[in-house]
Amino acid sequence: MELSVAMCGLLCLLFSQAVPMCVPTDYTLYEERRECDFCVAINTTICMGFCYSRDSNMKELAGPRFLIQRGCTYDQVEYRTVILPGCPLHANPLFTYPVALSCHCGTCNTDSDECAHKASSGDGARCSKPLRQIYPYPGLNNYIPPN
Amino acid sequence: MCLFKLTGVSLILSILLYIADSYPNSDMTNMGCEECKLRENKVFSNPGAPVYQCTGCCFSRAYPTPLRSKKTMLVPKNITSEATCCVAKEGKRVVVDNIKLTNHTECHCSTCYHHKS
Repeated sequence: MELSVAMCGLLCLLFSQAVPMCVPTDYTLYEERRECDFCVAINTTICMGFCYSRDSNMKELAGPRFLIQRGCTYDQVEYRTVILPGCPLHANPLFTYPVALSCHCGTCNTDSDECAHKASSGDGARCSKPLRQIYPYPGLNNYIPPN
Repeated sequence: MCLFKLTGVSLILSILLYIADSYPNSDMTNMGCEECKLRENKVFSNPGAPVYQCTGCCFSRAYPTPLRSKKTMLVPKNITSEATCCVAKEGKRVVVDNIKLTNHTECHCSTCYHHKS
């Protein structure tokens, strides 16, 4: 029994490399608001990896018909809300962000997503204010819809 | 009996590790997803006159839109998707069976123009 389990585990490990690697990946989000005193670092998961695409030999005749163009994007997503520290009373301290539960290679949904053309080379400056780490409660999902 | 099982598991593990080690060294995140490159398009290729097509995998990611970027958007979106697609960098126009085609000669991961829905 243990032998079968060990073999299955190792075979899965080896052959999982035969599929495109578009998977949820740990990511640290840096956010700051002008009216608040701190920049916050929030641990979340995003979608990142490689997806298959194909150019067409017949673009002049058939247009995009035979093109395959997909990006690694969110499949199942959960929204979490945290309270930003150091915000004045008149400011909204709530910050809501998406957490990737699963990912897939698919088209970019222009209704909900900003579809940028090309991956940027860097993330730019992260914080201009003192940094605070935010630790949301595990399993807490408290999306508050904006007014 | 226990020793026999242990020996068997060790042997199988050794074989599997040998197989894994024989994979070519490459970026682990791209393993199993073949790189963007020229491949023969067998639909249009004729003997002595191959037609090549760019196919393969390119990097992309989707992440929460930073607040500073949201402020510049006409319609703020919570998620930003950055994608690159395998497209032809260069190609030559050819006619195959009276059909005007572009025979790809060089590929790269670049702007996706048709990945939106």
